[in-house]
Amino acid sequence: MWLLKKDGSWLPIDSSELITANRVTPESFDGDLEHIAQTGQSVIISFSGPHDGRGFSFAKRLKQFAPELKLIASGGLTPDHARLCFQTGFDEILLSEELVVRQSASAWQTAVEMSVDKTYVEGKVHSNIPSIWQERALAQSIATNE
Amino acid sequence: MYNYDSHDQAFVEARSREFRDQVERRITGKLSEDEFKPMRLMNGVYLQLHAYMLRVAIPYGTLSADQMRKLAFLAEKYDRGYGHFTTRQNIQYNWPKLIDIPDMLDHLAEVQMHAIQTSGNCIRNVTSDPFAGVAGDEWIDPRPTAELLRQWSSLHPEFAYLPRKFKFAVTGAAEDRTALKFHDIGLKVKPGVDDNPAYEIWVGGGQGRTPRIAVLFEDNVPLSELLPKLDSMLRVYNLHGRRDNKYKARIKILVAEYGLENYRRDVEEDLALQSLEPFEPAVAEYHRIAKDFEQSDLTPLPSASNGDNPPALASWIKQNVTSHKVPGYGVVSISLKPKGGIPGDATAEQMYALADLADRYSQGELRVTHRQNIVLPSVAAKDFAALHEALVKQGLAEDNIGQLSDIIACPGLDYCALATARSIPVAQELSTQLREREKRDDLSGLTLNISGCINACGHHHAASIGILGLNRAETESYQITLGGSSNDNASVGGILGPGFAQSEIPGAIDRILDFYIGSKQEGESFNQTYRRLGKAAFREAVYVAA
Ligand code: SF4
Repeated sequence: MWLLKKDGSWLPIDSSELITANRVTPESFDGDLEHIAQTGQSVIISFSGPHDGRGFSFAKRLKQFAPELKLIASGGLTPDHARLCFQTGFDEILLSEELVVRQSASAWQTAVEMSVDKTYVEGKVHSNIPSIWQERALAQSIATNE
Repeated sequence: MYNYDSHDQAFVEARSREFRDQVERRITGKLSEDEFKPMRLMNGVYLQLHAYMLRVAIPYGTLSADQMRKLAFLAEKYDRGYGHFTTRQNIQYNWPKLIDIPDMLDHLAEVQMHAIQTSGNCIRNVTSDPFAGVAGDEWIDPRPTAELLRQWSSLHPEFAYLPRKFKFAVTGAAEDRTALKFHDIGLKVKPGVDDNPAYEIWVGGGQGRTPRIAVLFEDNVPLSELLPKLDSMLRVYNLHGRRDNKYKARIKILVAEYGLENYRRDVEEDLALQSLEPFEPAVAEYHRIAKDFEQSDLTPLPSASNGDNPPALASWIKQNVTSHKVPGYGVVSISLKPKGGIPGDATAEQMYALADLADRYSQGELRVTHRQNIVLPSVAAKDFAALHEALVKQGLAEDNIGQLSDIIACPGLDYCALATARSIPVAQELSTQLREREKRDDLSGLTLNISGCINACGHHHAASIGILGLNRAETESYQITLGGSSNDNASVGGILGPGFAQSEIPGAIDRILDFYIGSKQEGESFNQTYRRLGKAAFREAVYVAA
């Protein structure tokens, strides 16, 4: 197993290291955010496949409710999901050996620097570069102050 | 029109590079077809019956002349010399090669265009009123809101893999020209306070297998609250929309099964948790965008007299020109429904000509309508004759806007991998028949829409006369629906009875029209006659008389 971190770093991991993490699937979530927040420091959110985006909304809501939780994405993701994961509140992505080998380690290593790295509403994942709208607002306020 | 700044430009160029990389990874096997499929769909690339199809976004149906030229160039270089304008104000190319698509996207980016989210289970191209900014009945221009939504939804990290596709329409006028109530979310823009708009939010409309008319979610939502609210509405849908059955996955089913009140409550609960920081710039963004849409000063002109016009020109003006909010101008609709033609198709030559005509007569701007026609939004009345003459030369002067022969049709079994029957030949035959009939009967105000399968891209549910192509016992069978409408009093057409073979359709349509014309009361529309007399009477006229 491998862990891809939000800052782009990348390390092998023994699955036993995740034994204390709380595992949840968005499809079985009963709405009780408080219960999840109380049951551990780390939460692994499993995606049922590359087409199911529930995990993104689930992470967003959970992170808003309990910002201190470490959220880890797992499931059949691709490097193209990395931006989506990190912009919706995940801290790490858990990858199987198969995903790393087939989709290529280099693609995963550059996943957070894929061509589209920020959107109108969300900034860059691993730097302090804000969203497009925030950048425009900043430029406007500088222009107004000058 | 909205003009990209350096951020917008960098964004579409980055997306184009990203897609090129995804195609390369697919070709080298790093991505499986299952993984690649949603990525190509999210970029408008379908695998059709014979080839890949690329759908290009025309946000809220607005195009510059240079953009139209680029669309013509793509048709010429990468397709077979034509493109197909769709009911969602997009254009489709039916014959590109997958390997060429990244280059096509680069060409599009050169003119501030893209194919982002024109398909896939994500927020699709936002549609709007093709008469926006020029219509006399407009409260407020919907395009700044539509552009704000385009930006908010583009590559939104949370909503790229929704249960199903998600469609927005925005209008700001008394007459609904967007089929608003057949959208997942429809926004009616109205004047609010302090120069900011406010919104009616309608939710849960849609066509397909289970047609539904949207219900009012909330009225009078201020601009500052719009995007957080939409974000929460989408989040609740993403979490709770059904994923076990694609025919039950749209938000219309969630709202119907879960109940509007429960859905509203969940949205409010989500909203209470939300950080509003990402949306703080939205109001300033709206006003920045709105500046680009301020009408360049059109000087009012004396209205031209049409008294001496030759009959063909007079008829075209009567049928295809709508009043403009500035005196002396007209909103000119150009029909892409020639007699016997394919609805919505335009050749590269016609697209180049339309671009030149937009430059000459309409401030370099064009619109695409959900009825698959083109609009020149601001033409001086003194130029009508010259414009008409130029359109005649291009085969674009059909005077049938708003007539029954102004048929909507999806590509159907000639192209679409999901189709159960052909739509195009049915439309071609009916348009020939109806153009003849329109010479003797007044068929304005009636609509005829054709879909090649239950997905209803041809909006058959929303037409006075709808035709749905099905496959029954390995043969094409066409079901007729009557009484649908996509305007403010939206209604879903009712199935008339057993289906018809393709060869029986012209006769059945004739009998419907004979019965309507023979039975209608003074000033009555088709749907009013249909409701007064009831389905049984029409059924008898169509089936018993056959
Ligand atoms: S209605 Fe069916 S046949 Fe027509 S375009 Fe849509 S999916 Fe294809």
